Amino acid sequence: MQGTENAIQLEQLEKNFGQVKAVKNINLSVQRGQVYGFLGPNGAGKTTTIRMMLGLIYPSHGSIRVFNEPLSSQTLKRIGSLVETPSAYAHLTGRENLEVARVLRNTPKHRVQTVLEIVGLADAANRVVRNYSLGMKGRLSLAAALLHEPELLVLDEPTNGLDPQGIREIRDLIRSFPTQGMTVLVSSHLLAEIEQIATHVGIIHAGKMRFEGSLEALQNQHQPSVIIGVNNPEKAISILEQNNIKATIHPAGIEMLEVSAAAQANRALIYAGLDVHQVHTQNFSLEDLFLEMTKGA
Amino acid sequence: MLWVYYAEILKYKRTSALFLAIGIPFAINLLFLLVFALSKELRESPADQLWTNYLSGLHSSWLQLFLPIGLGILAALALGLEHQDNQWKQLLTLGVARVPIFLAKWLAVLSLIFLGAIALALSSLLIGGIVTGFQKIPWLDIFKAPLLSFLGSLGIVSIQVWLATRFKAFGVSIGVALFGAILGGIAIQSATYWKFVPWAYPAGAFGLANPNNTLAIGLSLAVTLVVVVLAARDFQTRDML
Repeated sequence: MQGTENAIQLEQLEKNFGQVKAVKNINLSVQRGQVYGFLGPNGAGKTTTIRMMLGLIYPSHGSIRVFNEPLSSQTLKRIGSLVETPSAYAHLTGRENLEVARVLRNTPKHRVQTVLEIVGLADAANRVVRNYSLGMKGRLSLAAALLHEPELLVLDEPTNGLDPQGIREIRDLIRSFPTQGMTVLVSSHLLAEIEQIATHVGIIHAGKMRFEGSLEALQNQHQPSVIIGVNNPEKAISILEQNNIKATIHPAGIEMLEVSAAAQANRALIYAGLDVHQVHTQNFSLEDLFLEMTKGA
Repeated sequence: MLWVYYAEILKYKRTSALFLAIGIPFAINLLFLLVFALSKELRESPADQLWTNYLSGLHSSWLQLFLPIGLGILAALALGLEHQDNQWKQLLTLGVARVPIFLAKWLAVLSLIFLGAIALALSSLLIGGIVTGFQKIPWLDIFKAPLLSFLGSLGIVSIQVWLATRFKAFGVSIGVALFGAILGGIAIQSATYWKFVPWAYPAGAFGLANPNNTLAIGLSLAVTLVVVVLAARDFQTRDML
């Protein structure tokens, strides 16, 4: 079935630079049709992993499969990519840059104009790239990645250097790709950016995968809890234990994971003569979860 | 392979590559026009000696100085297109195997050197003709030196292209080219040691200071084969950071 086919599968992937282990035993799988957010702070190993996926650097260990085939120049033909900072031949115009890529990709001539229009560069197509802003170079690199209508797009920090309007446009564009049959892997160090476009996420930190799954599954990693501000936390815990409610000490008082028992706990504490000065539900945002997963080494 | 080469050629628009490849041979001829204009002795040499005097100085400087340094510059310039802005990461993810990409680069530099050789022949015909009044044109000599030197330079082109894939710094290519030119200039004086210095092969191929030009061309082709195979393998297996 098409929906469950792996677009990318990394197994036990490792990359060492001398003594430095940049990527440690990574397993990652992106299925066809997903927008997969590859998240991690700067220096986490995202770009190294992406460079291995694209055959720019070779793994020290492990395997890379693209559409269930080992990575090769043939499988690369099915991928469009943008790695790190956008790059182009500065002395050529935008159109000439795309023409070089078009010849190498062996795609029809009309695609150059099509992708220029998709990324909003048609008006600047005949300007030398040296005079482009970073945002325009980013769009040009994206246009080159889209030139051959790839089945898989690998975009490494695609909104770097873009203004807010440009970020929104690229985001909308990325969201539209799955409807055109494309699978997208997009890396970022910004959770807020990924949250708006991705259906699935992989979180990498210090070269190791910390999480992989849907955004919903990530959210479910941490259940909300109830914080009760009370004047005698130790006594409060013992009272709640008598009511079969588990609680632990929290800086603000006590914390209990059974959210539905909040009213019962509140009643029990007040009947026992304790002063309850606050009861509130604590929700973890995705950002909290991301920060927690990526703190420390 | 041909379309990879075509894509490679497209990249040279608005670069100084073509200007250098064709312009340097013309500039050397203009320099020798000036030398002739300033030297009464050269101007007044016998008519049948004029072409010989003109071409010997011209070819000697081409073979031992301008060709080895010029090809170093052209190789650095060709590979600089990819080093600049780290364009490798774009180029090598387009689904074209690395070896054809390397070979297209190598062929592009060779094409520029070949154009330079043709430009040298044509400009020496034109400017040498002005100097000598287009009398008794030595057609064979005019075309032989540039073309033989081209064959003799294949090995060093390959070395310089390999080096330029490895080192981003323009200075490395130029430094090696300069050092090679000096070493080649010294080695060609020796009947034995020139064989061990690829930078002596262009002059050797022309028969300068050593008549064994077939050996020089053969050695140049052998070096080319070995270096291209090693360089292509190195290019294919290297991490492109």
